Amino acid sequence: MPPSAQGGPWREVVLYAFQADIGANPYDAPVLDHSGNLYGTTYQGGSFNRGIVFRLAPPAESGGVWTFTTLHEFVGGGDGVDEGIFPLAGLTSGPDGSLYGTTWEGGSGGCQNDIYYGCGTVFRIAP
Amino acid sequence: MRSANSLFLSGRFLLALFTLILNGRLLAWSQESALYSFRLSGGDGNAPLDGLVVDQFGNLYGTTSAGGANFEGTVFELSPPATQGGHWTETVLFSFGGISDGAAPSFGSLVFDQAGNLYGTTSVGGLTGEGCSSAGCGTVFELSPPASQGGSWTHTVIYEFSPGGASYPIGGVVLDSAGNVYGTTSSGGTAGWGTVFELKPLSAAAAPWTEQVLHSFAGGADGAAPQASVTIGTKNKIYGTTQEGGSAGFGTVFELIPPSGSGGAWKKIVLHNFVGGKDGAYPDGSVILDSAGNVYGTTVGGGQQASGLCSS
Repeated sequence: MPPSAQGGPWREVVLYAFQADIGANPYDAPVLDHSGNLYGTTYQGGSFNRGIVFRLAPPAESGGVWTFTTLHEFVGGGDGVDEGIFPLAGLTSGPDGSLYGTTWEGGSGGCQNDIYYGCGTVFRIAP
Repeated sequence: MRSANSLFLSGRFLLALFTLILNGRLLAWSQESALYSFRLSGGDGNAPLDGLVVDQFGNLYGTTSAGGANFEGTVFELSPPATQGGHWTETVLFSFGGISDGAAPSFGSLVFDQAGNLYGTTSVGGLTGEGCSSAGCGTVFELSPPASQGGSWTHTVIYEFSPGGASYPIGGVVLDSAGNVYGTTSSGGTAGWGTVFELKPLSAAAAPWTEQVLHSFAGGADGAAPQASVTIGTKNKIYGTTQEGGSAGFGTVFELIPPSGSGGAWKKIVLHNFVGGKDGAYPDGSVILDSAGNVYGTTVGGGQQASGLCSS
């Protein structure tokens, strides 16, 4: 938060602290909608530890608690499964109101390392 | 006992209902669709690290850090289906060549200028020499759309980082309203801890872009190793993060204020020093600004169980 008077100190407010079972390691900045909601990704964490998409809704009153909602938990699944895993990048809002993003692994594209399948994906989260 | 038990049951019911409502909210926004899986074969890109930029028609543009015709990464376009429920169509617009013209585009997103050209960075490729690995110091590129539909996009390296200067831009770039390009390098600069740079186009079409380092991170309290691009705020002030450095060594959020007169130095202020733990540590992404001037971002570490947070 910017200083109330010029030259004063900026103030940091922690809006949400992630826990591994919910979501972990958000690498990129969130996006902001017109209502002040923040949308983002975490690279890991969630039920499957393969990353999530989340929303943080601002409090009704200044100084209140932000509301965290998991919008999607990436699960992947293996060869032939379209869904991705491990979203590193943040989200982009499209002209249709959907959110678009990428995952750096997962999907049905055939790449395979020791553990995970896929060459990465592009995904959409529709409202 | 009975009443306590029924209370317990109704409590369970309430809990179930609450969960149902929560799940309903989750379902209302959980229509996730896998639009495209990158393929191992056929010269397709692999392993996208960056986000997407979307045009007015809903086409998505991004980069992949690997794959492509030369296995050095790609720029791709993903076009929505003509009819609802159809398949999205991917086109590789450009395959990077490595040392010759850039490789391994990394974080951030591509950006459009007003004429429809795309701009981005490759983390390596381009010039090599002492201070840069043999893979190259990195580039800033422009990709111009074809003159007629179905033609090829034209790739131009608008700036090659050079040994001894700024190097390894991994976060992409942003543009100001005048078409100047801004970004960070994760390494190089006078102290080797990375820079914030500006590229200015010259008026003549064939003339090179000129680079100005707006700030060289000194490491330590000044911050070090920015991983993401910057964000331009009001009065052309620039905001960003350094993954390392700061008073506690867990990274910083910084502001760069333009000089009042031409040729003056930019003034850098650390807005926040991350101290780890519940405060967060190691910001890896850029920041966003709201209309009130608040700055929002995430940290990869810190929080509870070392898992990052959002802060403003």
